[in-house]
Amino acid sequence: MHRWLAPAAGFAVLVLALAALEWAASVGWVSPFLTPPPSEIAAAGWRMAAEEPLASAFFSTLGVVLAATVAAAVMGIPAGWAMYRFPLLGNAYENWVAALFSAPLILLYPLFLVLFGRGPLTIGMIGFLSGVIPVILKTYEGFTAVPVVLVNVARSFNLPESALLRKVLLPAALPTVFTGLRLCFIYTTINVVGLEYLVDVGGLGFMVGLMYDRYDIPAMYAAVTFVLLISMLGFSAAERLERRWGRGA
Amino acid sequence: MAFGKRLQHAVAALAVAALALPGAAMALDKVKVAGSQRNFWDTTTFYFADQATGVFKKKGIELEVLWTKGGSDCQQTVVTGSMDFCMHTGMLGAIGAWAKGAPIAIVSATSTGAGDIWWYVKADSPIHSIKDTNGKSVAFSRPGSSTNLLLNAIVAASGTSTKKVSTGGPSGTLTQLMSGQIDVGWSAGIFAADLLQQGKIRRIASGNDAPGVQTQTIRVNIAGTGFLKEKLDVAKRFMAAYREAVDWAYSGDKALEMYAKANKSTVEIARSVRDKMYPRDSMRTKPIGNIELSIQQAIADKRLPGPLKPERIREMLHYVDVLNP
Repeated sequence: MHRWLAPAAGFAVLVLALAALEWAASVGWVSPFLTPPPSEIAAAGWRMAAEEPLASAFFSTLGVVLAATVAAAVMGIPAGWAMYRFPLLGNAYENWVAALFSAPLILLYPLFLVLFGRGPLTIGMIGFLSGVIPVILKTYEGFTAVPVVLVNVARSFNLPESALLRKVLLPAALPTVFTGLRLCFIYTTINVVGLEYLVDVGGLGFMVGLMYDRYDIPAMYAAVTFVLLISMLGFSAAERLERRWGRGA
Repeated sequence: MAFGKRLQHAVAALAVAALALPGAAMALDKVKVAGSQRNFWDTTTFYFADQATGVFKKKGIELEVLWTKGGSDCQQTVVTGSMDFCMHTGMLGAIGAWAKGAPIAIVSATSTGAGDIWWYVKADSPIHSIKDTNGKSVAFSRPGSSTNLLLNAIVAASGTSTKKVSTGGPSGTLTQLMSGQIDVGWSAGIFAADLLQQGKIRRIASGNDAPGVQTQTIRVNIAGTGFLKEKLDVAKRFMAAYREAVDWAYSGDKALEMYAKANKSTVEIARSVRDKMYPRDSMRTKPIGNIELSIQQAIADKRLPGPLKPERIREMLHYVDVLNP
């Protein structure tokens, strides 16, 4: 099978869906006040790029999401490994961390505003907290799912701990760790954009809120489209990293 | 014969009684209303009145109320046709949506002037007016909001280089002021009025300090054009009941008691807030005041692409006179 066939099929469905929406709007099946035709959304995107600080909003959100994701990975992967390496920690904290996963941390934003002030730091901290939990849990799950026989064989060759981690545990756990990183990226993006919308400190969430308040519905959808673009960039990057590190391991 | 005659008389008497009590026999027309910001004085009086006196039922209307956060949230429920009226939404938002062709109509003024929006400092602050805010941070709710526009106008009039900061709602703003993150906070109506009375905070400015705002209608009621075309008579009765509700709210203490209870405050504070921030005339339903200023602000805030011609303005405000004779 050609390697471009799957992305082409995905793109074709997207184009068909947009064409169907354009047609439904043109014949009045869909109210433009609810969902404007894609052509209007595209035009609004250009207009916003010219008249509004769209590029800085995009890079502000992207920067905060990336920083929070990287911080979550740097803190979360060692924490997940520690919970595996020291079973007492794993037994003690797995349920606590899992319980935090379902907690609506974004509701704590007034407290974070007081602690960190009105700025990207507050947004980043909420993004980090919501993103680090899946990284810890999935890393822990990945390590515990490594077949015992692999570990035993490695130990029978007197492999030191560091080499065991690098050559056996990490490569075997990598797919699950990356699942955690993808979840981290999703949760971080949702929380960062949601908080930007709530507290108006800039970014794409702020732009969505501003356009909604102005009743510029096509521009609001255009801003949402840029949020989707961040999401696509993140997933694409995670896929490439996983492939590269998977080959290297 | 006697029994038959008596039966005829009884039926006739019942028919006369039914005709004499049309209200009791009439089915109520259900009207779906989106409210803005529950428990503010101006936004909730119609609801208090209906709860206390059944003023809408007396006009043959059964209210179905959905409370929203106001602004676009309220407006959108009417645009989509899920609600018939949106009460007390921002004037600029209504102008912007109408000009973009949204199926809504402005049906009355609800708040003229902005005496209910106020700015305050901690009691020991050296700031005594907006003129003292050079280089200081002053709060507004969110970009494009009425507090944002009012603050812009007040600062421009005072000629200071004030740092304007978006702080969200009144409660979050109070927290940020008390924790020293901002120098001047904003509030609306009764919120933090108890702290004002206790001397913990000091009021330094009001929305009415902005030039021209005292006579400007800043909030309006809107309705769906589909609803108005199909049920104009119901809409007329609704607005008649609304005007009676406002009259009732200023005629005795019952509305103040409900307002105080809803805000966990006292009737004295509620009365002070009502009389100082919401004078009776500020809640008149017509005319729409200083529309020229609203249009200028809507253009500046990119809600309107350009000025509206006089005939377009008349068209926009057509239903205000129709529903408020």
